[in-house]
Amino acid sequence: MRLRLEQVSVWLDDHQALRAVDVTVPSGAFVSLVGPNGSGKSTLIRAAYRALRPRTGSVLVGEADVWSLSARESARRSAVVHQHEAEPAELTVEDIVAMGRTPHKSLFAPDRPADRAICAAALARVGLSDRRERTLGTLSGGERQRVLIARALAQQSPLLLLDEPTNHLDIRHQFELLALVRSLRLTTLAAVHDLNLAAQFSDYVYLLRAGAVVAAGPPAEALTPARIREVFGVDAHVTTHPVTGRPYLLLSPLSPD
Amino acid sequence: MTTARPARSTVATTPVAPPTSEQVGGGPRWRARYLGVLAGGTLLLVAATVGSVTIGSVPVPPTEVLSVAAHQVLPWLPADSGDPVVHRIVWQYRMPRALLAVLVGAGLALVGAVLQAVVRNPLADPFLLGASSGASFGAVAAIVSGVTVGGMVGLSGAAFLGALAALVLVYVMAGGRGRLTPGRLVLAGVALSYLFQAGYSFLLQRADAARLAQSALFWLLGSLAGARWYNLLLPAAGLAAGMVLLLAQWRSLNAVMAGTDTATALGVPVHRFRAQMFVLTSLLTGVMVAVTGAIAFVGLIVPHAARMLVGADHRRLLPASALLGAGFLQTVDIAARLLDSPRELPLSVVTAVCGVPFFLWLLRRRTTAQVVG
Amino acid sequence: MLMAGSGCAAGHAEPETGATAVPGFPVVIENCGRTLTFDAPPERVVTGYQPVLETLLALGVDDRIIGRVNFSENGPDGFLPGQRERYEQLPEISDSILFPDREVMLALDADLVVTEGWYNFSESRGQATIEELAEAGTQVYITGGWCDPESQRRFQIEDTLQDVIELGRIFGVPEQAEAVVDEMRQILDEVTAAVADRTPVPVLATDGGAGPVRVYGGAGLTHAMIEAAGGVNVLAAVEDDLFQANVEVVAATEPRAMIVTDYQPGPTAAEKFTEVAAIIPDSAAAREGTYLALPAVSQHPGYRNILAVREIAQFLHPEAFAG
Repeated sequence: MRLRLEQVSVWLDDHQALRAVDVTVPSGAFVSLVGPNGSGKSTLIRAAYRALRPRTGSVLVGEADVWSLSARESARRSAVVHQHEAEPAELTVEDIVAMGRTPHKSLFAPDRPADRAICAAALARVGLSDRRERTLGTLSGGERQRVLIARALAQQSPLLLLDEPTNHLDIRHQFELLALVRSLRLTTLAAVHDLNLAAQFSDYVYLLRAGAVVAAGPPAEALTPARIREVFGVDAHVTTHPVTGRPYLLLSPLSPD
Repeated sequence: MTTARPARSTVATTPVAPPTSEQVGGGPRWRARYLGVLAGGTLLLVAATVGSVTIGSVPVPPTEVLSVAAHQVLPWLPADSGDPVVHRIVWQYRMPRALLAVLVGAGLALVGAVLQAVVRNPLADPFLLGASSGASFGAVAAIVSGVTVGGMVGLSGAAFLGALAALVLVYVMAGGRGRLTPGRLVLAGVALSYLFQAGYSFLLQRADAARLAQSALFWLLGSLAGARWYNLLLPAAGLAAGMVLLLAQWRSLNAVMAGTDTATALGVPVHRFRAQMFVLTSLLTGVMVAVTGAIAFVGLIVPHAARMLVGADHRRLLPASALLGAGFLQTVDIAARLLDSPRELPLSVVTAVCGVPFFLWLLRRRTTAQVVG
Repeated sequence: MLMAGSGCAAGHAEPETGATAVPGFPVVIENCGRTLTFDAPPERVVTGYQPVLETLLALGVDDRIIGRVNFSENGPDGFLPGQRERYEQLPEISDSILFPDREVMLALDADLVVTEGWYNFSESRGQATIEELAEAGTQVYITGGWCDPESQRRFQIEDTLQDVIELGRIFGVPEQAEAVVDEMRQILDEVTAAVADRTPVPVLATDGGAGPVRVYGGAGLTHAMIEAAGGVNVLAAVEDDLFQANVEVVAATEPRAMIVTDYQPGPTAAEKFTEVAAIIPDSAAAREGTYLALPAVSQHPGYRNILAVREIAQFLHPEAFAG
């Protein structure tokens, strides 16, 4: 399922956080949004799942404008993984993953064996089946993020949105998490803080600055030294990583010019 | 999807807190605990209710109570040969009162649990959003003005109108349907509560009201003493409707407890949901408070106690809160009648005195206080 | 009838201004743990609730009154015969039955404040406290010994008579006071004689309420009146004056008559009777509708509560007073 944002502008109070951005996530692709803080990455993600309403432009999931759908219908199409800090620590892993079934259940509908099977499969997919009964607060950061991914999987949505999912994770878990997400082969749009992670795992990258898209394309094309300098204010030297074979950016402070 | 699994770490990562035995509850273990709480709660409720109808200034054995009730409900059964005055006391006063304790205890605890999730605030209780101060204002105004159209029914009517007024005002003040964030709701509710409080405090302070002030003060502290069969109807209907509608919302409540963005992502229309919950809980609160006055503490603490016992999932939390709330209030009401017999103690005084020690004990048993939000 | 006519009753001693020593003075009185000293009769007097005013009118010393509180609880007909015009002539300092604000009270610069209760000096209500008045040179006399809630419960009818005597001394009108006390004793003796051989009537005294019910227990002024008037208080076992009773407690009583406190604003006495009668429908009081609407003033220490004893006795034992 394809995600498209067309000419989307979003205002937060009196400040324009997104300026007529166009973003396309082809079906099955992993697309990253990168940019400094305040560039609008999170805002864009939130606009994509109806947490924010664009003042102009449209958000299309599979050719349907999300705002023409009901909240539940929209949630059946797109699932979101936030940062884990906001989740209530005293719910069990099981309960959290079960929340992913919410868009599929009407008001008085109980959990059926089919739902439980979907949740169990989701947990297995992220490798946390044996943590089922633990409360969220007893897991490590990486494990918690994986629980949230399991919840998104239980939602059975073709589109996955991630809002800086690797923040506050150990480096190892950052790799593991993004590798897991990639392996799911869902249409994925992720706001990523670390340029190299984006370069390593993404099919496409959108570089944002002050609410506008300044570059788009495969990582090697979008993340040029000139662009990096313009947007991040640092010097970048693009190499190819000897082990992964992906573009790798060596960053250094701006040399006086 | 590929079947490749990410390599699991064999090196122990640092968990945030070592799991205690309570926290590592089994799926089956949580369920067992839940059933245990339900069983225990039911036992408490039944015992307290039996106690409530048999204990009083005139002790009545349970068998006699049963025969009185049976005779009233099925008049062709032979009447008990005991003292008709005692029978009248039991039927007209004790039984409605015991029932009202169940209704209001369950209702207040249920509303408290719902509101704590909706506004994501562990200090939320049924009175946070203004319904109770509005009702109190309506009731005090009625008492102090001396206008008693229809006696107690009129008083409850005035109280309910006050609650309705508060509902409307808070709704409007918080910005209307599209903008009911938890913060705005809480602020509007608290501000309006202060306003209503100022209103009825002013009415009480006026020297005209010197004599009536004592009745008004008693009402403000909550009491089940006014329970009669006829004024049980509305709270019963309210609680029945409320339970059906609120219990069914457990999924959405779990979702909003996790945050507005998460709830939106899970397909919950958050603002509309909040508005619906606000209206529903305010109406339910108003219906109950109109009959009993504002009984403090139940709606705040019982949900927390329930959460400690059965966990935060609302599928379990809501029924557990309702059950424990009913049992708690029933027990407390017995104390309110006995501690200073033949006088009546206002309930809010006793709920805190009885409830706080138990709650502190419960708090100490948990290694962490697992509060919402 | 001693109480006929307006303020300037005959026969009281006028204080002589300018005299070096007034006969009978200085007067020293203990009242509520305070020592009141008068070198001469007070000339600027403020009165509290109506029974106090009625007592001072009986003593004929109302020309010293510079301020009185409002009394409209029982309407224009609630006054004792002939007292209404005098009441209206006196300056009103409060629009309720309680004392006004601190500043108003202090500005009156009174010698003496006479009132029926300890609760009339509440700081939280903005009233002047007794200490504040004392600093301003104003002495306070509390009638009935109602110094605090505990002593209010210990009230005996004799306390009212004692007040009259003491006030007579304070105002320098001891003979008038004697005459009033004699009249009071006569009334009380008349009542005692009339009800002597009669079976006491079970009485429930109430101020209304359906849950809890406001009732008068076995202590305090109302109880004393009931017992003196040939009644027996059905709640005599409870050692309290006015209290909030559990409905069950009231439902278990079987009074033959009820006394209902009457005042406005609030429900009427008839409404309160109906409300409480519904709790005891099998009692004789409820079945026959036997109740007396007793003005609230009668339940406070003063001349009127003696009259009320007779009124209650006539209500409970009408056949004893016939003819």
